[in-house]
Amino acid sequence: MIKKMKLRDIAGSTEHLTCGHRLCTGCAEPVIVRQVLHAAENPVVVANATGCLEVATTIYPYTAWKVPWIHSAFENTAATISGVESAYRALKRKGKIDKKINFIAFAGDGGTYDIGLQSLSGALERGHAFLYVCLDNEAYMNTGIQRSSSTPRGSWTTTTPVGEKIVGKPEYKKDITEIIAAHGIPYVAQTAPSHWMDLMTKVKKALKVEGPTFINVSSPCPRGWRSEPEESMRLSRLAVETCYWPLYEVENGVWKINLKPKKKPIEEYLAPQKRFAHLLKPQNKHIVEDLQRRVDERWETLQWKAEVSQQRSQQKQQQQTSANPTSQ
Amino acid sequence: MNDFNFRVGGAAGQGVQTIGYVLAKTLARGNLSIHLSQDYESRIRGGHNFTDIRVSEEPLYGSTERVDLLIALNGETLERHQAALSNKGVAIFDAESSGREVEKPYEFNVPFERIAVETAENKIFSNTVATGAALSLVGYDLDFLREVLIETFKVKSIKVAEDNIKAAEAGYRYVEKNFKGETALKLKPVNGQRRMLINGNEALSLGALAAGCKFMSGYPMTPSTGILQYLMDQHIIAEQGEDEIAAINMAIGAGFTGVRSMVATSGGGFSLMVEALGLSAMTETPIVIVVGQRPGPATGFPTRTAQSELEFVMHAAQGEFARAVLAPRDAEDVFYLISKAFNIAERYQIPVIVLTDQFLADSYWTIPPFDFSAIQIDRGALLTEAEAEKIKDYARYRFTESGISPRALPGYKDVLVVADSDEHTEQGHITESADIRVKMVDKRVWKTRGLEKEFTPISYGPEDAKTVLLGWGSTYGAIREAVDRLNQKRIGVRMVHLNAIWPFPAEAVQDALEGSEKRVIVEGNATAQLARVIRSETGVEMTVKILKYDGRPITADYVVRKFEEAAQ
Repeated sequence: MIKKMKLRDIAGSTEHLTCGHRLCTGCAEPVIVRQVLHAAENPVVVANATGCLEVATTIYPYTAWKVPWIHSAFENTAATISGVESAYRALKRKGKIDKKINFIAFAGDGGTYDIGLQSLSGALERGHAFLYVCLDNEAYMNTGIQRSSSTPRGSWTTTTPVGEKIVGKPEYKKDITEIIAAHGIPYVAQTAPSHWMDLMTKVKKALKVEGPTFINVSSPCPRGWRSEPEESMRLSRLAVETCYWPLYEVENGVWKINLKPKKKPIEEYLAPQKRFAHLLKPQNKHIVEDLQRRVDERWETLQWKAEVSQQRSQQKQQQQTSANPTSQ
Repeated sequence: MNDFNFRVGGAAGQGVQTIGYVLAKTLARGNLSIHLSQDYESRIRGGHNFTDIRVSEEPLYGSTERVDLLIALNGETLERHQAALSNKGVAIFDAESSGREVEKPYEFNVPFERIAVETAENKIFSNTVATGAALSLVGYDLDFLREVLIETFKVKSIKVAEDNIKAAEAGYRYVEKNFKGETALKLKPVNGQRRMLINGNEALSLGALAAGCKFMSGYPMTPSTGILQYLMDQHIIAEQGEDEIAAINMAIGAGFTGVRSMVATSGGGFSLMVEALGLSAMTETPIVIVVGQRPGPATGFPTRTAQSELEFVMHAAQGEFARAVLAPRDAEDVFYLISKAFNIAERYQIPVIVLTDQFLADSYWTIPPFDFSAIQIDRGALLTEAEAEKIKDYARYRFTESGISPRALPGYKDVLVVADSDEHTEQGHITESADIRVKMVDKRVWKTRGLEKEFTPISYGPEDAKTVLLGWGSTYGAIREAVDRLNQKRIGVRMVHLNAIWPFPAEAVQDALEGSEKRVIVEGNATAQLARVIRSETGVEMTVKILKYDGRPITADYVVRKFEEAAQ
């Protein structure tokens, strides 16, 4: 069992991502990274894909990181951490290192959903022991707000402009958490920084696993979402409360919803973000309705998956117990 | 006053680019020639960025290092750039917000922040206050600025536009009241033809549209992202892929089915595209690849400039095959050259690489309206459906004297179009035949023969000069101006400049260098890549090398300085 964290414990633990970095006011990324690192009980090694987090925290001669840190390129964080973790295993086997070290990769949605997917999929399949954290701010913010396959339908970005014929991004957001879950790795979860307890518990769980794990975190971006910096945590909360971004986990094939909110309408999440401003006009009502329909459908499917997989897991346990009663 | 350089500097996020653009547009309204160049860091916030806006009554081709009016949005700007100030140069800054007093006679304190808060109730208007103040210092008409501010900011809201105008007026008046007559600077509108203020990426995008490009795909990468962004907003198919590999393969697919297609990237992205470059060559599918150079290897200087990919793009991909490499000079040239790139790609059924760089992509020039009648669309041996049907036993890779096979498109009635990345027969079917292999290699290697005759180097300056400055791509403006300045000093030099490099126009270059005694290569790289190409293709040796690979653009000042150093 994972011991629940208390605020007091966090306050007492060392900051591994310190102040002084140049991420924007209201950016959720440093909040998420700090929560992740506070939850880690063992020493960690971090691999960081190209992106805002990387460029803004490591401007020489400064660094905001107090942990070993490696950056390689944009599309290969998972491959890089695979190499690092392999070296660690080799050293351990030779008896040159004995302490337990956790390996964590941070990447944005561009580096995860798009260009880095191949490298991530390969690392998961090879079974390296690492936690991959996706900081999902739903577009390429570092290069100036271009769409990614994580950008939600209807959203404005510089490469999905709002015109008369095509209103923002026409395509739906890719569901990477499901895709990663389909790899059958031991632990996959989705969380949000507004729900810090949920996030940190998931990190703790993931780091206990011997094998690849993945956590997708919604990361509000005032610059790209065209929202007020002070709204970020509220937006993170709204993403969860509208069921746009459900908090759930898939542990050894068993799906579990961690929070079942009283579902708010999707407009409440869209309205404070100017990237969706055009959707609130009457002529674009159908897009909002479509987004709502999609949220509803996916929420239903998720509940169904949780129910079925939990039932099946219970049945299996019962079968095992009856077949082998002494094991209790 | 002729030839005047504003420099606006500050941290990322302070609105340096906005002021630069607004100032440039305001001055261009007065029919002045503008060259705007941008120096920015790969940072989301902080760091130090600056924009140069060079103004003249005469045509301008490039930037200068000298500063006549420094607009310092923070104290750091003042420290960094005061050494660049000219004799009559002045600086304006905000002593209150930068925490620094006026120290030198050429420093003027304008409280940007306080004025912004007093007039428009928000310090974010500080940069507009500075714009107004700067124009006031040079006595330029405020009406143009009002016009530009409305145009620029009305998309946000009328209120934002009006607040900007208030802030600009307050800055303007503050300088009038406090420093009138204290500087000898004067800039005024002139009569003349109104010109466009346009940057390299915009001109390239418009050129592609004019050339009939119907499909563009890309993946965000500085300095070429602007092309993708620009074309996304137009009535063509513009797709953003999940990486550069997807982007180029999409474009090859589109080209294969018959539309003019293009990708835009930088060296790093092109590295990922290299395999597909060979696919384009093997399948003889036309494609235009824009490579916006920046200093590498790897991430390098993501927001800076270089000319270091020439040999890379000339040799990229395994196997031997024909390709063309073009290197536009400036915003005006790239508009016309890109349509040439599409024509070459289709006429020879090859990949064509257009080498730009960050300096060309991000710099603005004032240029006359484009002459669309100069754009000719030549689709080469592309058959219509009716023409293709008449051919008995059509074969996509038919051996011909020129090496170029008539091109039918997949989907034509009664015509089978087969393409293969393996070695293939005339029909496009896979083969292991040694004979066919040799003929196919010859076809793919030699089919561009004669194309180099269309590439003429530009010569500029006194024809009898024994000293030649030779360059390629975006150094055109700098070298041209250096030639003017050296000739004014009675040093006889001329320029030979290439905007089309491969296939190499060896004869034309030899002719252009005829009679030269001193040959100076000017390049934005460390190894004089073009000099090496010239030597291997003509045997002619460059005698002096002026190279620059610090990530910053080559200026006329730099060329003149290095030329004089080398002459000593």
